[in-house]
Amino acid sequence: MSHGLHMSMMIGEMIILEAEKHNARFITEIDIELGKLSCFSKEQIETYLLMRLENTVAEGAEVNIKEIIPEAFCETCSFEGELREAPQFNIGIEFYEPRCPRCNSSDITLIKGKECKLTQIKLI
Amino acid sequence: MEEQYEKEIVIETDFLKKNEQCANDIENLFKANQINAYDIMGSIGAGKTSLIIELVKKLKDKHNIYAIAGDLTTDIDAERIKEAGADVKQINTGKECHLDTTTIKNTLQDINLKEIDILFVENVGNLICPADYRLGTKKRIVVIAITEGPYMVLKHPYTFLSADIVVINKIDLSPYVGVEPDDLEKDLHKVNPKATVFQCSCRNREGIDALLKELLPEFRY
Repeated sequence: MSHGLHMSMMIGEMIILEAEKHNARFITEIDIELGKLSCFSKEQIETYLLMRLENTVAEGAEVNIKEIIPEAFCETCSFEGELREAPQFNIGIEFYEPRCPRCNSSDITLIKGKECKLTQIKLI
Repeated sequence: MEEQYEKEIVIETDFLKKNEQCANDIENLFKANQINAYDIMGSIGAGKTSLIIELVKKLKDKHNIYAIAGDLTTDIDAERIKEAGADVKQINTGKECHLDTTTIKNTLQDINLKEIDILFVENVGNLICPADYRLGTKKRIVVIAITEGPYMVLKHPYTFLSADIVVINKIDLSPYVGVEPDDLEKDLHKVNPKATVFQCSCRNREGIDALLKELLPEFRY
C-alpha cells in the first residue's frame, strides 16, 4: 500500500470517529496541515481522503490542506524562522536549503515542515 | 424548519508525530539495553544487504549482532545475513513500502535485547517512503550505488536529508558507468551538509573500515 494511501486512511478513520463521537449528521469542512518537507503530496492526500470519505457523513466535505513552510532553529546563532527556498538545486520541486538563513550554519533543528496534521473539522 | 448549527471541533493530531513518539520509545529501549542500532535505507540493489554482511563479518567475533531484514517478499536477504554470522528476523511487509515503528516494536518483543550489542535494521528497498518514518535507531544510513546514475541524490532529496550517514557503494564500477562518486558527494553536501559520506565497495571491501570507525569509534580490529 502506498504510504500516502495509508496516511489518508488513518486521517479518514479519525474524522469518522470524531463524527460519531459528536453525533454529527454531516461533516462540512476538514482542515489539514501538511509540511512541505514531508514525503506526502497535497494532491495525493486529498484524493485518497475523498475516496475514504465516500458514503460517509463526511462525503462532500470541503477539504482544506494548508502546506507548511519549513522552519528551523539554528544551534549556532539562535535564529528561529523559515528556511530559504533552494531553487538553485533545480530539482523541479520546492526544496529548502538545510542551512540557517542568517549565519549559513548547517547545525539546525527543524521545528516545522514535516507534519501531517488533522487540525480541525466542522460538523453539523 | 430546524436550524442547523455548524460546530468546530479542534483535533490537532499529527499522524507523523505519533510515529516520532514511538521512535523515541524505541530509542530509549535501545539505550537502556546498550544497543547500537542502525537503520539501513536505499533502493533495491544499492547494496544494503551486502553492506550489512561486510559489517557483520568484521564485528561478529567481538559483538553479538542481530539484524531485522525488511522486504516485501522472500527471506533471501535474511538468509544471506544469517550466513555471514548474525541472528536475523525477517519481516515481510507484503504490500507496505517501508518499515514503521509499530512493526519494529512488535518485532523487538520477540528478541532478547540483553543479548544484543549491535542491531542492523534493513529497511524496504525504497528511496521515498522510509524517509518520513524514523525507527528510533542511533543513526540512519542511506546506501546509494554508483550504478544508480548521476542524479539519484537530487531526485530523492528527502531521503538524503533524513540521513546521518550516506554510503556511496560500488565505487569500483565508476569507470564502467561513467559516474563519479565525488560528484554524488557534492550533491549530497548541497542537500544535507550534516551527513557524513563514505565511498565504499562492498565487493572489494573498500571503505568498510572507515565506516566502522564512524559507527563504533571504540572498536579495534
